[in-house]
Amino acid sequence: MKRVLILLAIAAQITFLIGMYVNSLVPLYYGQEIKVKTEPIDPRSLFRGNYVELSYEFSLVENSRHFKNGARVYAVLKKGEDGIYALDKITEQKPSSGLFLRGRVAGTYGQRIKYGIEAYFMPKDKALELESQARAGKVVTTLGVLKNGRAGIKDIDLLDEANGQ
Amino acid sequence: MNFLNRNFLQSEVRKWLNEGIITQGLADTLAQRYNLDQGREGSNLIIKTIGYLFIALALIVLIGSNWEEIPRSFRMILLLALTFLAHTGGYLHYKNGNENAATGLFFLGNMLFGASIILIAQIYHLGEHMPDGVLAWAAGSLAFALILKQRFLMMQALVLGFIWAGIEFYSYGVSMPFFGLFLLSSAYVLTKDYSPALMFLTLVAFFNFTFQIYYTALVGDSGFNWYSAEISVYPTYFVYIFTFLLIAFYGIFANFYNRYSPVVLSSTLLAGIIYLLINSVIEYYSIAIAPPTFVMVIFYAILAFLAIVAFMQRHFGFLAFCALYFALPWIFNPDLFSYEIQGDRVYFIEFINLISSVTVFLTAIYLIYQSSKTDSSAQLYAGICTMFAIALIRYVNLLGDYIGASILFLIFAVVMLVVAKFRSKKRSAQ
Repeated sequence: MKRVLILLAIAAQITFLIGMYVNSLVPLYYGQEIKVKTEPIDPRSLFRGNYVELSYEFSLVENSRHFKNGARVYAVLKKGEDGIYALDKITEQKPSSGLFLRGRVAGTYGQRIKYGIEAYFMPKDKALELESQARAGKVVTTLGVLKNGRAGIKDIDLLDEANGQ
Repeated sequence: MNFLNRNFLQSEVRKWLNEGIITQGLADTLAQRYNLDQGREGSNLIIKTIGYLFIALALIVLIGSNWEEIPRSFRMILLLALTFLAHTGGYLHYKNGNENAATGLFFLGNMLFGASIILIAQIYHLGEHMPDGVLAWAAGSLAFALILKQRFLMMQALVLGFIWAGIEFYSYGVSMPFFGLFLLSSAYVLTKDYSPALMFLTLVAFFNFTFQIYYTALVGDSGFNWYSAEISVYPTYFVYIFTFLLIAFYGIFANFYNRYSPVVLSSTLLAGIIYLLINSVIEYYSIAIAPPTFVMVIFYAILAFLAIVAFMQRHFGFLAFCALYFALPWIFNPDLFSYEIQGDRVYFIEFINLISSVTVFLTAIYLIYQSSKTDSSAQLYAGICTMFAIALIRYVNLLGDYIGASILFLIFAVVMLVVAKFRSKKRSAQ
């Protein structure tokens, strides 16, 4: 019996890892590709090494609004003239159509919304380089967005390069 | 045989052997029959486990530094394969009856499992709720600890669970009642495979856990901040200190003090440090709230249990201590030392501090007195450490004035010298 349990525990760990791997690939392969404006900050993850923390215009909750900590919200996006997607509105009701991102509210004061696209990993020197370049120009992130609002980061570039200018 | 009786028999067998009442052969036979520990053979396992821990840490640091040179898919396959191989190796060793080697490899496998989670999060830029990954890591490790009922595996799972609950609480302001499952598992493993280190970790985790639950119940999900922590910590801190000290006494009366001494020592010290920390953050006059009912229920349950043990073993001195502790919540009831200013209740924290210091001081004297009777050096050190803790606190946070502190130190000095004299007299009489 004990041996069977051990084998089950091993199988559970391996299945979890494969599930996590597959799950993170889905938005990148099957999601709609969009570009959004981004502001990088460079912190350091406790376990995961160096990464650029990314912030978007739809990451911040307006001061006039307040959500319950941990609440599920949706950022509805619309395409701008420059081809870059921008925030239309943030809603607690899941939109029935259109392009939107699924996020969760974090914190009680100065609330932010997390969409699972806030970290981009790269070696420290590259992260710092990106940050200093970002001060001069704008940065855009390319996302893969699924119909249910789940997104993954495909790439990150400077705005000029992204526009091909 | 339950573990309390086994611990008792174990210490008796050691005594009989030392006094020459029984031979080594008989001691071994008894140890075998009742499954007693005659000196742990675990040191090799400890060294091995630490070795595996370093391997895993090296891997995590390597991943952290973003080893760009190796293709991502290859890194992924490499870590998955390593996790699988370590666990499979553990399983094969376990099947062949080599439990020590199996434990070491399962430990390594769990660390590699965590490294794989980190790697996937890194490759795919997952900025999702980070503690979820740590929880998965902790839960995956807990399964092995429970199946094998092994102390090292349990320590691993407990530490990971502790980190998970800590990040959730201190970064996101959410307390995690689910962490209670880790504590229960740890208590269960302790009855099967006792280790002082695991006991200590469990006590620390328990302290932290109850604080988080209480804090959230009090403050809601508005997140952790030091000001509200100050208010909520105060009414519970003395309960914790005395819970730790009661555990120390419990050791004395359950006749397995020697085995539990490292834990008792460290938890007493810990209680002192917590006390010091709380003292340093609380203002002279502060707003406080009475201890919540559930904390008091736990406190009285422990106290009642200890009083029964003490009564059954005819330790009337300890019964008197139980009575003192029983009265503590009333002595410390903040409402008794408060007055109202413009609708706000204000408390004389310093006065309450004085009473708690005196109580801890009496406890220290009692421990030292016990040590002179039982000749237990662990009790002596526990008493001395407790006394030093108070001395340190009083030095930092003077008892109102320098003269008060100086008198207190003088009393400590007298107690220590009397004890020394008493012990040397007893030695020379022997």
